[in-house]
Amino acid sequence: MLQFLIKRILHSVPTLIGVSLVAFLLIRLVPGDPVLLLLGERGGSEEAVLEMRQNLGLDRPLWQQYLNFVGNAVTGDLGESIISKRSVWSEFLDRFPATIELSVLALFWSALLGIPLGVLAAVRRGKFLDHLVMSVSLIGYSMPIFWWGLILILFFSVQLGWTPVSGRMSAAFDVEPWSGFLLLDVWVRGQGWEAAWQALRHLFLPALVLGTIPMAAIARMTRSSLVEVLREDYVRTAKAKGLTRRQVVYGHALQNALLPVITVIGLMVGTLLTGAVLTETLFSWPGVGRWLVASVVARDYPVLQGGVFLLAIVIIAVNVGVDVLYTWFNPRLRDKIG
Amino acid sequence: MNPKAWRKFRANPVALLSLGLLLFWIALGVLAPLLPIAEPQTVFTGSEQLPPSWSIGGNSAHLLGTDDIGRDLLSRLIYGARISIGFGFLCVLTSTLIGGVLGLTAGFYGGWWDRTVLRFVDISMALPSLLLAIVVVAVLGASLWNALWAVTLVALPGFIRITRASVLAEREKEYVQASRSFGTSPLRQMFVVILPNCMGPMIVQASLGFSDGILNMAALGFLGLGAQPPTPEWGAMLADAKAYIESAPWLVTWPGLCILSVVLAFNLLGDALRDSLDPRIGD
Repeated sequence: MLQFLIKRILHSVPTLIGVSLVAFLLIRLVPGDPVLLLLGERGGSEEAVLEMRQNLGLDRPLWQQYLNFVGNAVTGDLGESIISKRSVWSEFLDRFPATIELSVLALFWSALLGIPLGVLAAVRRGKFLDHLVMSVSLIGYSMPIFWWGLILILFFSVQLGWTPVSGRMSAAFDVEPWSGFLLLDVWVRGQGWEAAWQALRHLFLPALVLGTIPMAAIARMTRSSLVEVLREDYVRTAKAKGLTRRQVVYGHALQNALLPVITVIGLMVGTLLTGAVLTETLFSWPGVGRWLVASVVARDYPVLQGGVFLLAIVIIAVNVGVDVLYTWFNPRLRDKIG
Repeated sequence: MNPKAWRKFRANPVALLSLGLLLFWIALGVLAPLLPIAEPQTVFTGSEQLPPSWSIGGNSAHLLGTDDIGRDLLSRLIYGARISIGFGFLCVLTSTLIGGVLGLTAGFYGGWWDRTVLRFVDISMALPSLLLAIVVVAVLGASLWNALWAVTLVALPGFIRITRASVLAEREKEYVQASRSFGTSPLRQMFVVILPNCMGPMIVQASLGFSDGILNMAALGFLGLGAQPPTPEWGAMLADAKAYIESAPWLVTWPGLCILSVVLAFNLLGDALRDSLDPRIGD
């Protein structure tokens, strides 16, 4: 297993190199002098320009610049933001937990609802319930989620006044960050139920919006996978030996049907991050997605470069993790690898 | 499409419904200048934020109401269809052409060229689609046309993979070997012998690519990184409407419904095409 893990990690090295090249070239492809871009719209003094040109090593050949960039990146030095003058790495760390908290909650409810819906549709294949579940999930799958978010705001916030429209926390609570995950930090800081409730109220709509497409995809995948498995010989055997329908589906078929669903959930990470860009912008959620969009608007290229690079690493790491999990859950593959 | 696939397609009510809906939208977009509606940029001073005509305070001159500065919403939505569907079409066209040629040559020749193309696919798939599009827009600058290039680049990997996979499946079949033994040139083998037999999956991918393209263009517009005001693009209209969600909710409702209906129609069409073009699925 360890061998497989190492092999899988080595396998993603070329992709990592490619992604670092894209991030490296990003600033250099923008028309104009990178130094002036890095110093921002207002530019800087003559000395500042010269100093930065030297610091960035722009006088050296391109391949040396690239090696320099990678060397710095490995030690966590991704430059600093033009706007805030803080290091890109610490800005990222400030915002990443907010994105993770939102994404995990979104994935949680989408799997919690998507898997049972898919099972229901598969068991009732061709019946009314199946058509209903599949239609609803296709609508969910086609949803422009930025609009869906606006409609939910219209209903829950404007009409009913139940949920806040933006932000992570109400101003009444000032939670000193510990892990960055608010739902955890309110307990660590001893702020109790009321604070946790406020944090949940803020999470509710963004998580609902962000989980919509994953929910639809998980429901569709679960259905098609279970329909396939229910045709297998061992399911027929289980039926033939007199097991109830319930025992056949939940005791035998579902375990195997869920294997491809794990992969789909892993592939969801990209979808979640895309969704996070839109959801966070819509709800003013202080996460990585909104940070990156703001960096494009403000032409804060170091932030965009570093942020894209770090997110790509996260995605590659998750993909490796999913592959390993998939192999682990699938005994046939596990034995082959040994 | 062969007659059998067409028969299967025609027998599917959902397929016909989605095709009908799309033709309706395309007709609206194409005929927009001939329709008895206002110009999308015309400002009706004194008629700002009019609700739809059937609600209290509505005016029958503006069927779906007006926006915050008094432009006719229905007209902007219809002209928006030209932009969304038109640019969706351009995106599918360019990514089918480029992705098709890359996938076809990669699958046909194999070797280092295949590995290079696959590496490109891997790298662009390591970034979520919208994020990659944002990077491209950051380099080129925010505009409708730049958003098109961004969305096209993002769509490429899907087309390359689909084409390459079908070429690999076809390449070793007997009819290709036969044509090779006649001394057919590689170009002819690729484009005349193999390509027509890969059309099924490519058509399905094109239909699904339409919905992805339209969604991504709208998302970029919504983020302010695509179409710029006052262009009547559905995503950009939603970004504008956000500020008026309490006073003029209809400005939020309609553009989104338009996006949803077009995207849903393309997804349904894609599903239906897959069913009718897949020989494994019986009548």
